[in-house]
Amino acid sequence: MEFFLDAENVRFSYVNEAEEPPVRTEVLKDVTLRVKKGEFTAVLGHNGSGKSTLAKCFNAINLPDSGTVTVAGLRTDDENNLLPIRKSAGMVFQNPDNQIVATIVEEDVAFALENLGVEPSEIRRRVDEALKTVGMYKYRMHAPHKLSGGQKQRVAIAGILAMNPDCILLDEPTAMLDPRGRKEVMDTIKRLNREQGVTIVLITHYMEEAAQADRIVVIDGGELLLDGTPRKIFSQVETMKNLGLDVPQVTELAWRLRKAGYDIPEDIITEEECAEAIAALLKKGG
Amino acid sequence: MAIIETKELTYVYGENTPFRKVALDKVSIEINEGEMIGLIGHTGSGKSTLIQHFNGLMKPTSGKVLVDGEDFFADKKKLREVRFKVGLVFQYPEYQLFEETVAKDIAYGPKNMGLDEAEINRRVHDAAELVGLTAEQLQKSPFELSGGQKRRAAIAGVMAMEPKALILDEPASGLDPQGRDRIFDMLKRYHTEKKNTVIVVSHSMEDIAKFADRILVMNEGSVFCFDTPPKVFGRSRELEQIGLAVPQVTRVIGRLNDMGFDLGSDVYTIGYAEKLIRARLGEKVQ
Repeated sequence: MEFFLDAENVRFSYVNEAEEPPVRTEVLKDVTLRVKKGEFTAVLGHNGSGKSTLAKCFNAINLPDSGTVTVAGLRTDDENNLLPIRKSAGMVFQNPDNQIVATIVEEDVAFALENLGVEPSEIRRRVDEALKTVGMYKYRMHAPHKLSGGQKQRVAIAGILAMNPDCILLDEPTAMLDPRGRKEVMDTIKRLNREQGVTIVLITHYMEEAAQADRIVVIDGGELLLDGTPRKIFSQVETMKNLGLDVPQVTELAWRLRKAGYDIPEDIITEEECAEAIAALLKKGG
Repeated sequence: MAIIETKELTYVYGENTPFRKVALDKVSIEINEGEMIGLIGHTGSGKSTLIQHFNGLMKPTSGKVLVDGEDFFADKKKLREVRFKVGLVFQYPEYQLFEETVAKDIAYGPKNMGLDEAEINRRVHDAAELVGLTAEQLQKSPFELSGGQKRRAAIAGVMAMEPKALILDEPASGLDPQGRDRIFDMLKRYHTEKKNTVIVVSHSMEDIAKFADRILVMNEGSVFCFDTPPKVFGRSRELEQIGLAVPQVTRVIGRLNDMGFDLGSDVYTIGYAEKLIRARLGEKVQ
Protein backbone atom coordinates (compact mmCIF):
# COMPACT_ATOMS: atom_id res chain seq x y z
CA MET A 1 0.00 0.00 0.00
CA GLU A 2 1.20 3.44 -0.88
CA PHE A 3 1.36 6.02 1.89
CA PHE A 4 0.41 9.61 1.30
CA LEU A 5 3.08 11.00 3.60
CA ASP A 6 6.12 8.84 4.00
CA ALA A 7 9.20 9.70 6.05
CA GLU A 8 11.77 6.92 6.00
CA ASN A 9 14.70 6.94 8.44
CA VAL A 10 14.80 10.72 8.50
CA ARG A 11 17.67 12.49 10.20
CA PHE A 12 17.71 16.26 10.46
CA SER A 13 20.04 18.75 12.15
CA TYR A 14 20.00 22.47 12.56
CA VAL A 15 23.39 24.06 12.01
CA ASN A 16 24.41 27.23 13.82
CA GLU A 17 26.83 28.83 11.37
CA ALA A 18 27.49 31.75 13.71
CA GLU A 19 29.61 29.55 15.96
CA GLU A 20 33.18 28.67 15.04
CA PRO A 21 33.27 25.78 14.24
CA PRO A 22 29.56 25.56 13.29
CA VAL A 23 27.47 23.74 15.90
CA ARG A 24 25.15 20.97 14.71
CA THR A 25 22.09 20.05 16.75
CA GLU A 26 20.48 16.82 15.70
CA VAL A 27 16.73 17.22 16.02
CA LEU A 28 15.38 14.14 14.24
CA LYS A 29 17.14 10.85 14.80
CA ASP A 30 16.06 8.18 12.40
CA VAL A 31 12.33 8.88 12.27
CA THR A 32 10.06 6.70 10.16
CA LEU A 33 6.43 7.81 9.90
CA ARG A 34 3.92 6.77 7.27
CA VAL A 35 0.53 8.41 6.98
CA LYS A 36 -2.32 7.03 4.87
CA LYS A 37 -4.50 9.19 2.68
CA GLY A 38 -7.50 10.52 4.61
CA GLU A 39 -5.98 9.76 8.01
CA PHE A 40 -6.20 12.23 10.90
CA THR A 41 -2.97 12.03 12.86
CA ALA A 42 -2.13 14.06 15.95
CA VAL A 43 1.51 14.58 16.84
CA LEU A 44 2.39 15.05 20.52
CA GLY A 45 5.73 15.84 22.08
CA HIS A 46 7.08 18.43 24.47
CA ASN A 47 8.69 21.68 23.32
CA GLY A 48 11.89 20.89 21.46
CA SER A 49 11.00 17.26 20.76
CA GLY A 50 11.28 17.72 16.99
CA LYS A 51 7.62 17.55 16.05
CA SER A 52 7.52 20.87 14.16
CA THR A 53 10.77 19.98 12.42
CA LEU A 54 9.17 16.76 11.22
CA ALA A 55 6.04 18.54 10.00
CA LYS A 56 8.22 20.93 8.02
CA CYS A 57 9.88 17.91 6.36
CA PHE A 58 6.46 16.96 5.00
CA ASN A 59 6.09 20.04 2.87
CA ALA A 60 9.71 20.39 1.91
CA ILE A 61 10.53 23.38 4.10
CA ASN A 62 13.11 21.10 5.73
CA LEU A 63 15.12 18.57 3.72
CA PRO A 64 16.45 15.59 5.66
CA ASP A 65 20.24 15.09 6.13
CA SER A 66 19.66 11.43 5.39
CA GLY A 67 16.62 9.28 4.76
CA THR A 68 13.80 10.23 2.39
CA VAL A 69 10.48 12.00 2.58
CA THR A 70 7.82 11.55 -0.06
CA VAL A 71 4.49 13.35 -0.37
CA ALA A 72 1.95 11.72 -2.68
CA GLY A 73 4.82 9.66 -4.05
CA LEU A 74 6.95 12.73 -4.82
CA ARG A 75 10.35 13.02 -3.18
CA THR A 76 10.94 16.29 -1.35
CA ASP A 77 14.62 16.44 -2.32
CA ASP A 78 13.80 16.87 -6.01
CA GLU A 79 13.42 20.58 -6.66
CA ASN A 80 11.00 19.95 -9.52
CA ASN A 81 8.58 18.48 -7.00
CA LEU A 82 8.48 21.54 -4.74
CA LEU A 83 5.46 23.22 -6.28
CA PRO A 84 3.27 20.09 -6.53
CA ILE A 85 4.24 19.13 -2.94
CA ARG A 86 3.39 22.55 -1.50
CA LYS A 87 0.08 22.53 -3.38
CA SER A 88 -0.69 19.08 -2.12
CA ALA A 89 0.37 19.52 1.52
CA GLY A 90 -0.35 22.99 2.92
CA MET A 91 0.79 24.20 6.29
CA VAL A 92 -0.96 26.29 8.95
CA PHE A 93 1.20 27.82 11.67
CA GLN A 94 0.64 28.81 15.29
CA ASN A 95 0.43 32.57 15.00
CA PRO A 96 -2.39 33.71 12.71
CA ASP A 97 -0.87 37.19 12.44
CA ASN A 98 2.28 35.84 10.80
CA GLN A 99 0.53 34.17 7.90
CA ILE A 100 -2.00 36.70 6.72
CA VAL A 101 -0.66 38.96 3.97
CA ALA A 102 -3.58 40.84 2.42
CA THR A 103 -5.79 43.61 3.77
CA ILE A 104 -9.08 41.98 2.74
CA VAL A 105 -10.02 38.44 3.73
CA GLU A 106 -10.87 37.22 0.24
CA GLU A 107 -7.67 38.68 -1.21
CA ASP A 108 -5.70 36.79 1.39
CA VAL A 109 -7.37 33.53 0.46
CA ALA A 110 -6.70 34.25 -3.24
CA PHE A 111 -3.01 35.02 -2.68
CA ALA A 112 -1.57 31.61 -3.52
CA LEU A 113 -3.92 31.07 -6.45
CA GLU A 114 -2.88 34.38 -7.98
CA ASN A 115 0.75 33.38 -7.65
CA LEU A 116 0.00 30.09 -9.33
CA GLY A 117 -1.56 31.92 -12.27
CA VAL A 118 -5.03 30.43 -11.89
CA GLU A 119 -7.78 31.91 -14.13
CA PRO A 120 -9.62 34.80 -12.39
CA SER A 121 -13.04 33.14 -12.71
CA GLU A 122 -11.63 29.94 -11.23
CA ILE A 123 -10.01 31.96 -8.40
CA ARG A 124 -13.38 33.53 -7.63
CA ARG A 125 -15.04 30.13 -7.50
CA ARG A 126 -12.38 28.48 -5.34
CA VAL A 127 -12.03 31.40 -2.91
CA ASP A 128 -15.79 31.51 -2.35
CA GLU A 129 -15.94 27.76 -1.87
CA ALA A 130 -13.00 27.71 0.56
CA LEU A 131 -14.47 30.57 2.61
CA LYS A 132 -17.84 28.83 2.75
CA THR A 133 -16.18 25.60 3.87
CA VAL A 134 -14.53 27.28 6.88
CA GLY A 135 -17.62 29.38 7.62
CA MET A 136 -15.98 32.73 6.85
CA TYR A 137 -17.81 33.63 3.62
CA LYS A 138 -19.75 36.42 5.22
CA TYR A 139 -16.49 38.01 6.36
CA ARG A 140 -14.96 37.91 2.85
CA MET A 141 -14.81 41.72 2.55
CA HIS A 142 -13.56 42.29 6.10
CA ALA A 143 -10.08 43.36 7.18
CA PRO A 144 -8.22 40.35 8.64
CA HIS A 145 -6.73 42.28 11.57
CA LYS A 146 -10.20 42.96 12.94
CA LEU A 147 -11.08 39.26 13.14
CA SER A 148 -10.73 37.08 16.24
CA GLY A 149 -7.87 34.59 16.45
CA GLY A 150 -10.11 31.65 15.59
CA GLN A 151 -11.49 33.50 12.58
CA LYS A 152 -7.97 34.40 11.40
CA GLN A 153 -6.88 30.76 11.63
CA ARG A 154 -9.92 29.73 9.61
CA VAL A 155 -8.96 32.29 6.96
CA ALA A 156 -5.44 30.79 6.92
CA ILE A 157 -6.98 27.33 6.48
CA ALA A 158 -9.18 28.67 3.65
CA GLY A 159 -6.06 30.01 1.90
CA ILE A 160 -4.71 26.50 1.85
CA LEU A 161 -8.04 24.89 0.96
CA ALA A 162 -8.28 27.10 -2.12
CA MET A 163 -5.34 25.17 -3.55
CA ASN A 164 -7.36 21.94 -3.29
CA PRO A 165 -4.77 20.20 -1.12
CA ASP A 166 -4.86 16.51 -0.24
CA CYS A 167 -3.30 17.21 3.11
CA ILE A 168 -3.11 20.00 5.69
CA LEU A 169 -0.30 20.13 8.24
CA LEU A 170 -1.19 22.23 11.28
CA ASP A 171 1.47 23.29 13.76
CA GLU A 172 -0.28 24.17 17.04
CA PRO A 173 -3.01 26.09 15.23
CA THR A 174 -5.00 26.65 18.43
CA ALA A 175 -2.20 27.60 20.84
CA MET A 176 -3.03 31.31 20.77
CA LEU A 177 -6.81 30.96 20.69
CA ASP A 178 -9.47 31.06 23.38
CA PRO A 179 -11.75 28.05 23.94
CA ARG A 180 -14.31 29.29 21.45
CA GLY A 181 -11.68 29.87 18.75
CA ARG A 182 -10.15 26.48 19.49
CA LYS A 183 -13.47 24.76 18.98
CA GLU A 184 -14.09 26.62 15.69
CA VAL A 185 -10.73 25.49 14.33
CA MET A 186 -11.08 21.89 15.58
CA ASP A 187 -14.59 21.59 14.12
CA THR A 188 -13.29 22.88 10.77
CA ILE A 189 -10.40 20.41 10.75
CA LYS A 190 -12.63 17.47 11.63
CA ARG A 191 -15.18 18.39 8.99
CA LEU A 192 -12.53 18.67 6.26
CA ASN A 193 -11.21 15.28 7.26
CA ARG A 194 -14.56 13.51 7.42
CA GLU A 195 -16.43 15.16 4.57
CA GLN A 196 -13.67 15.85 2.09
CA GLY A 197 -11.17 13.16 3.03
CA VAL A 198 -8.37 15.69 3.62
CA THR A 199 -5.37 14.08 5.31
CA ILE A 200 -4.68 15.92 8.57
CA VAL A 201 -1.50 16.12 10.60
CA LEU A 202 -2.15 18.14 13.74
CA ILE A 203 0.60 19.13 16.13
CA THR A 204 -0.88 20.11 19.47
CA HIS A 205 -0.27 20.44 23.19
CA TYR A 206 -3.94 19.92 23.97
CA MET A 207 -4.63 16.30 24.83
CA GLU A 208 -8.38 16.75 24.36
CA GLU A 209 -7.72 17.76 20.75
CA ALA A 210 -5.42 14.81 20.13
CA ALA A 211 -8.11 12.49 21.53
CA GLN A 212 -10.28 13.43 18.53
CA ALA A 213 -7.76 12.10 15.97
CA ASP A 214 -7.67 8.62 14.38
CA ARG A 215 -4.09 8.15 15.42
CA ILE A 216 -1.55 9.70 17.77
CA VAL A 217 2.21 9.64 17.38
CA VAL A 218 4.43 10.76 20.22
CA ILE A 219 7.83 12.22 19.47
CA ASP A 220 10.47 12.56 22.14
CA GLY A 221 14.10 13.59 21.76
CA GLY A 222 13.84 13.42 17.99
CA GLU A 223 12.57 9.84 17.97
CA LEU A 224 9.15 8.41 17.32
CA LEU A 225 8.31 6.81 20.64
CA LEU A 226 4.65 5.81 20.59
CA ASP A 227 2.22 5.29 17.74
CA GLY A 228 -1.37 4.10 18.04
CA THR A 229 -5.01 5.02 18.46
CA PRO A 230 -5.85 7.69 21.06
CA ARG A 231 -7.24 4.92 23.28
CA LYS A 232 -4.04 2.95 23.10
CA ILE A 233 -1.80 5.95 23.68
CA PHE A 234 -3.77 7.61 26.49
CA SER A 235 -4.26 4.35 28.38
CA GLN A 236 -0.51 4.60 29.09
CA VAL A 237 -1.03 7.33 31.67
CA GLU A 238 2.27 6.91 33.51
CA THR A 239 4.34 6.77 30.32
CA MET A 240 2.71 9.94 29.03
CA LYS A 241 3.30 11.79 32.30
CA ASN A 242 6.91 10.67 32.42
CA LEU A 243 7.36 12.11 28.95
CA GLY A 244 6.20 15.49 30.23
CA LEU A 245 2.94 15.07 28.38
CA ASP A 246 -0.51 14.56 29.76
CA VAL A 247 -3.72 12.64 29.14
CA PRO A 248 -7.29 13.99 28.95
CA GLN A 249 -8.80 14.67 32.38
CA VAL A 250 -11.40 11.94 31.86
CA THR A 251 -8.67 9.38 31.18
CA GLU A 252 -6.80 10.44 34.30
CA LEU A 253 -9.91 10.27 36.47
CA ALA A 254 -10.66 6.73 35.25
CA TRP A 255 -7.02 5.76 35.74
CA ARG A 256 -7.03 7.04 39.32
CA LEU A 257 -10.19 5.10 40.10
CA ARG A 258 -8.66 1.98 38.56
CA LYS A 259 -5.56 2.45 40.70
CA ALA A 260 -7.81 2.70 43.76
CA GLY A 261 -9.09 -0.77 42.90
CA TYR A 262 -12.28 0.00 41.02
CA ASP A 263 -13.27 -1.88 37.90
CA ILE A 264 -13.31 0.81 35.23
CA PRO A 265 -12.01 0.59 31.63
CA GLU A 266 -8.50 1.98 31.11
CA ASP A 267 -9.12 3.30 27.61
CA ILE A 268 -11.65 6.02 28.36
CA ILE A 269 -11.12 9.13 26.25
CA THR A 270 -14.50 10.85 26.01
CA GLU A 271 -16.67 12.56 28.62
CA GLU A 272 -19.59 10.34 27.71
CA GLU A 273 -17.66 7.11 28.28
CA CYS A 274 -16.29 8.44 31.54
CA ALA A 275 -19.70 9.44 32.86
CA GLU A 276 -21.21 6.09 31.79
CA ALA A 277 -18.42 4.10 33.43
CA ILE A 278 -18.67 6.03 36.70
CA ALA A 279 -22.46 5.74 36.62
CA ALA A 280 -22.09 1.97 36.27
CA LEU A 281 -19.74 1.92 39.27
CA LEU A 282 -22.09 4.03 41.37
CA LYS A 283 -25.07 1.84 40.48
CA LYS A 284 -23.17 -1.33 41.28
CA GLY A 285 -21.93 0.18 44.53
CA GLY A 286 -25.46 0.89 45.70
CA MET B 1 -6.88 45.82 52.43
CA ALA B 2 -7.39 46.32 48.72
CA ILE B 3 -4.24 46.66 46.64
CA ILE B 4 -6.20 47.33 43.46
CA GLU B 5 -9.67 48.77 43.38
CA THR B 6 -11.79 49.97 40.49
CA LYS B 7 -14.89 52.11 40.83
CA GLU B 8 -17.29 52.06 37.90
CA LEU B 9 -14.31 51.79 35.56
CA THR B 10 -15.42 52.39 31.99
CA TYR B 11 -13.28 52.41 28.88
CA VAL B 12 -14.49 53.22 25.39
CA TYR B 13 -12.43 52.57 22.26
CA GLY B 14 -12.93 54.95 19.33
CA GLU B 15 -15.17 57.45 21.10
CA ASN B 16 -16.87 59.78 18.59
CA THR B 17 -16.10 57.47 15.66
CA PRO B 18 -18.30 54.90 13.91
CA PHE B 19 -16.13 52.18 15.56
CA ARG B 20 -17.08 53.16 19.11
CA LYS B 21 -16.88 50.12 21.35
CA VAL B 22 -17.38 49.94 25.09
CA ALA B 23 -14.54 47.67 26.22
CA LEU B 24 -15.20 48.04 29.96
CA ASP B 25 -18.58 48.92 31.34
CA LYS B 26 -18.74 50.17 34.93
CA VAL B 27 -16.39 47.60 36.38
CA SER B 28 -16.19 47.80 40.18
CA ILE B 29 -13.92 45.27 41.85
CA GLU B 30 -11.54 44.98 44.78
CA ILE B 31 -8.43 42.83 44.76
CA ASN B 32 -6.91 42.34 48.17
CA GLU B 33 -3.29 42.29 49.22
CA GLY B 34 -1.79 38.81 48.99
CA GLU B 35 -4.57 37.29 46.93
CA MET B 36 -4.00 34.87 44.06
CA ILE B 37 -6.48 35.79 41.37
CA GLY B 38 -7.39 34.04 38.13
CA LEU B 39 -8.84 36.24 35.40
CA ILE B 40 -10.74 34.64 32.54
CA GLY B 41 -12.97 35.71 29.70
CA HIS B 42 -13.17 35.02 25.98
CA THR B 43 -11.34 37.11 23.38
CA GLY B 44 -12.77 40.62 23.44
CA SER B 45 -14.28 40.30 26.91
CA GLY B 46 -12.18 43.19 28.18
CA LYS B 47 -9.66 41.36 30.33
CA SER B 48 -6.55 42.80 28.63
CA THR B 49 -8.04 46.28 28.68
CA LEU B 50 -8.76 45.83 32.37
CA ILE B 51 -5.26 44.78 33.41
CA GLN B 52 -3.70 47.64 31.46
CA HIS B 53 -5.64 50.00 33.71
CA PHE B 54 -4.13 48.42 36.79
CA ASN B 55 -0.73 49.95 36.19
CA GLY B 56 -1.78 53.04 34.34
CA LEU B 57 -0.98 51.96 30.78
CA MET B 58 -4.54 52.93 29.96
CA LYS B 59 -6.59 55.73 31.40
CA PRO B 60 -10.25 55.23 32.22
CA THR B 61 -12.82 57.00 30.04
CA SER B 62 -14.75 57.37 33.28
CA GLY B 63 -14.60 55.87 36.73
CA LYS B 64 -11.56 55.32 38.93
CA VAL B 65 -8.65 52.96 39.48
CA LEU B 66 -7.05 52.99 42.91
CA VAL B 67 -3.74 51.29 43.66
CA ASP B 68 -2.90 51.09 47.35
CA GLY B 69 -5.85 53.38 47.94
CA GLU B 70 -4.47 56.11 45.71
CA ASP B 71 -5.97 57.52 42.53
CA PHE B 72 -2.72 57.71 40.60
CA PHE B 73 -4.27 59.41 37.59
CA ALA B 74 -5.07 62.39 39.80
CA ASP B 75 -1.35 62.99 40.42
CA LYS B 76 0.97 62.45 37.44
CA LYS B 77 4.03 61.98 39.65
CA LYS B 78 2.44 58.88 41.08
CA LEU B 79 2.28 57.17 37.72
CA ARG B 80 5.93 56.09 37.78
CA GLU B 81 5.49 54.75 41.27
CA VAL B 82 2.50 52.69 40.20
CA ARG B 83 4.52 50.95 37.49
CA PHE B 84 6.83 49.66 40.23
CA LYS B 85 3.96 48.67 42.48
CA VAL B 86 2.06 46.79 39.81
CA GLY B 87 4.20 44.66 37.50
CA LEU B 88 2.72 43.57 34.21
CA VAL B 89 4.01 40.57 32.23
CA PHE B 90 2.61 40.58 28.73
CA GLN B 91 1.82 37.59 26.56
CA TYR B 92 4.93 36.05 25.01
CA PRO B 93 7.20 38.21 27.22
CA GLU B 94 10.27 36.44 25.84
CA TYR B 95 10.06 38.68 22.77
CA GLN B 96 10.93 41.59 25.03
CA LEU B 97 14.29 40.24 26.19
CA PHE B 98 17.00 42.52 24.85
CA GLU B 99 20.07 42.69 27.11
CA GLU B 100 23.47 41.05 26.57
CA THR B 101 23.05 38.62 29.42
CA VAL B 102 20.12 37.15 31.28
CA ALA B 103 21.36 38.74 34.52
CA LYS B 104 21.42 42.22 32.94
CA ASP B 105 17.98 41.69 31.50
CA ILE B 106 16.52 40.78 34.88
CA ALA B 107 18.37 43.73 36.45
CA TYR B 108 16.84 46.24 34.02
CA GLY B 109 13.71 46.90 36.10
CA PRO B 110 15.40 47.17 39.52
CA LYS B 111 18.07 49.45 37.99
CA ASN B 112 15.41 51.82 36.75
CA MET B 113 13.94 51.89 40.22
CA GLY B 114 17.22 53.50 41.30
CA LEU B 115 18.24 50.73 43.71
CA ASP B 116 21.85 50.29 44.73
CA GLU B 117 24.15 47.63 43.26
CA ALA B 118 23.90 45.22 46.19
CA GLU B 119 20.12 45.35 46.27
CA ILE B 120 19.89 44.89 42.49
CA ASN B 121 22.15 41.87 42.79
CA ARG B 122 20.10 40.35 45.56
CA ARG B 123 16.90 40.80 43.61
CA VAL B 124 18.32 39.37 40.38
CA HIS B 125 19.49 36.24 42.17
CA ASP B 126 16.30 35.96 44.17
CA ALA B 127 14.15 36.17 41.05
CA ALA B 128 16.40 33.79 39.09
CA GLU B 129 16.18 31.31 41.92
CA LEU B 130 12.38 31.59 42.00
CA VAL B 131 12.02 30.87 38.30
CA GLY B 132 14.66 28.14 38.33
CA LEU B 133 17.46 29.72 36.33
CA THR B 134 21.02 28.71 37.25
CA ALA B 135 24.01 31.00 37.87
CA GLU B 136 25.48 29.74 34.62
CA GLN B 137 22.33 30.59 32.67
CA LEU B 138 22.38 34.10 34.15
CA GLN B 139 25.64 34.79 32.33
CA LYS B 140 24.34 33.56 28.97
CA SER B 141 22.78 35.67 26.26
CA PRO B 142 18.98 35.44 26.58
CA PHE B 143 18.93 34.17 23.01
CA GLU B 144 20.87 31.05 23.93
CA LEU B 145 18.07 29.86 26.22
CA SER B 146 15.25 27.52 25.25
CA GLY B 147 11.75 28.90 24.74
CA GLY B 148 10.58 27.93 28.23
CA GLN B 149 13.74 29.33 29.85
CA LYS B 150 13.37 32.62 27.97
CA ARG B 151 9.79 32.88 29.19
CA ARG B 152 10.92 32.34 32.79
CA ALA B 153 13.77 34.85 32.42
CA ALA B 154 11.31 37.47 31.19
CA ILE B 155 8.98 36.81 34.12
CA ALA B 156 11.95 37.04 36.51
CA GLY B 157 12.63 40.54 35.15
CA VAL B 158 9.28 41.72 36.47
CA MET B 159 9.46 39.68 39.69
CA ALA B 160 12.80 41.37 40.47
CA MET B 161 10.97 44.67 40.80
CA GLU B 162 9.11 42.99 43.68
CA PRO B 163 5.82 44.59 42.74
CA LYS B 164 3.02 44.48 45.30
CA ALA B 165 0.87 43.02 42.55
CA LEU B 166 2.24 40.87 39.74
CA ILE B 167 -0.03 40.50 36.72
CA LEU B 168 0.65 37.94 34.01
CA ASP B 169 -1.22 37.71 30.71
CA GLU B 170 -1.39 34.07 29.54
CA PRO B 171 1.98 33.13 31.07
CA ALA B 172 1.75 29.49 29.92
CA SER B 173 0.55 30.09 26.38
CA GLY B 174 2.32 27.93 23.78
CA LEU B 175 4.10 25.76 26.36
CA ASP B 176 3.80 21.99 26.64
CA PRO B 177 2.04 20.44 29.67
CA GLN B 178 5.25 20.18 31.69
CA GLY B 179 6.20 23.75 30.83
CA ARG B 180 2.73 24.93 31.88
CA ASP B 181 2.93 23.11 35.21
CA ARG B 182 6.38 24.56 35.77
CA ILE B 183 5.16 28.12 35.26
CA PHE B 184 2.21 27.66 37.61
CA ASP B 185 4.31 25.93 40.29
CA MET B 186 6.75 28.81 40.04
CA LEU B 187 3.97 31.38 40.46
CA LYS B 188 2.57 29.51 43.44
CA ARG B 189 6.03 29.49 45.03
CA TYR B 190 6.49 33.18 44.35
CA HIS B 191 3.11 33.85 45.90
CA THR B 192 3.81 31.77 49.01
CA GLU B 193 7.24 33.29 49.57
CA LYS B 194 6.57 36.92 48.77
CA LYS B 195 2.95 37.05 49.91
CA ASN B 196 2.31 39.53 47.12
CA THR B 197 -0.82 39.68 45.01
CA VAL B 198 -0.66 37.63 41.81
CA ILE B 199 -3.18 37.99 39.00
CA VAL B 200 -3.05 35.45 36.18
CA VAL B 201 -4.99 35.87 32.94
CA SER B 202 -5.63 32.52 31.30
CA HIS B 203 -7.97 30.79 28.89
CA SER B 204 -7.51 27.54 30.72
CA MET B 205 -9.99 26.91 33.51
CA GLU B 206 -8.06 23.75 34.34
CA ASP B 207 -4.95 25.80 35.08
CA ILE B 208 -6.78 28.52 37.00
CA ALA B 209 -8.69 25.96 39.05
CA LYS B 210 -5.39 24.70 40.42
CA PHE B 211 -4.24 27.85 42.14
CA ALA B 212 -6.71 30.73 42.34
CA ASP B 213 -8.19 32.00 45.63
CA ARG B 214 -10.78 33.86 43.61
CA ILE B 215 -11.67 33.90 39.92
CA LEU B 216 -12.75 37.02 38.06
CA VAL B 217 -14.83 36.18 35.01
CA MET B 218 -15.25 38.95 32.44
CA ASN B 219 -17.93 38.94 29.76
CA GLU B 220 -18.65 41.65 27.18
CA GLY B 221 -16.79 44.27 29.20
CA SER B 222 -18.60 43.57 32.46
CA VAL B 223 -17.87 41.47 35.52
CA PHE B 224 -19.74 38.20 35.05
CA CYS B 225 -18.73 36.98 38.49
CA PHE B 226 -15.86 37.34 40.97
CA ASP B 227 -15.85 34.56 43.51
CA THR B 228 -14.11 31.47 44.89
CA PRO B 229 -13.52 28.56 42.47
CA PRO B 230 -16.34 26.35 43.85
CA LYS B 231 -18.84 29.19 43.48
CA VAL B 232 -17.63 30.06 39.98
CA PHE B 233 -17.54 26.48 38.70
CA GLY B 234 -20.96 25.95 40.23
CA ARG B 235 -22.18 28.10 37.35
CA SER B 236 -20.51 25.98 34.70
CA ARG B 237 -23.51 25.91 32.35
CA GLU B 238 -23.61 29.70 32.24
CA LEU B 239 -19.83 29.84 31.77
CA GLU B 240 -20.12 27.62 28.70
CA GLN B 241 -22.86 29.85 27.35
CA ILE B 242 -20.53 32.85 27.44
CA GLY B 243 -17.90 30.96 25.46
CA LEU B 244 -15.68 29.64 28.25
CA ALA B 245 -14.61 26.04 28.54
CA VAL B 246 -15.04 24.54 31.99
CA PRO B 247 -12.71 21.67 32.97
CA GLN B 248 -13.55 18.29 31.43
CA VAL B 249 -14.15 16.75 34.88
CA THR B 250 -16.70 19.44 35.67
CA ARG B 251 -18.62 18.43 32.54
CA VAL B 252 -18.41 14.74 33.45
CA ILE B 253 -19.80 15.41 36.92
CA GLY B 254 -22.51 17.55 35.24
CA ARG B 255 -23.48 14.55 33.08
CA LEU B 256 -23.61 12.34 36.17
CA ASN B 257 -25.82 14.89 37.89
CA ASP B 258 -28.11 14.82 34.86
CA MET B 259 -28.32 11.04 35.21
CA GLY B 260 -29.63 11.52 38.69
CA PHE B 261 -26.46 11.15 40.78
CA ASP B 262 -26.38 14.16 43.00
CA LEU B 263 -22.65 14.95 43.09
CA GLY B 264 -22.88 18.70 43.51
CA SER B 265 -21.96 21.44 41.09
CA ASP B 266 -18.63 22.58 42.52
CA VAL B 267 -16.27 19.90 41.17
CA TYR B 268 -13.43 21.30 39.10
CA THR B 269 -10.27 19.29 39.82
CA ILE B 270 -9.52 15.63 39.11
CA GLY B 271 -8.39 15.08 42.68
CA TYR B 272 -11.64 16.33 44.15
CA ALA B 273 -13.73 14.37 41.65
CA GLU B 274 -11.83 11.22 42.58
CA LYS B 275 -12.35 11.79 46.31
CA LEU B 276 -16.02 12.52 45.84
CA ILE B 277 -16.70 9.41 43.77
CA ARG B 278 -14.71 7.18 46.11
CA ALA B 279 -16.52 8.55 49.14
CA ARG B 280 -19.81 7.92 47.40
CA LEU B 281 -18.80 4.36 46.58
CA GLY B 282 -17.44 3.77 50.09
CA GLU B 283 -20.65 4.99 51.73
CA LYS B 284 -22.69 2.60 49.73
CA VAL B 285 -20.43 -0.40 50.16
CA GLN B 286 -19.64 0.25 53.83
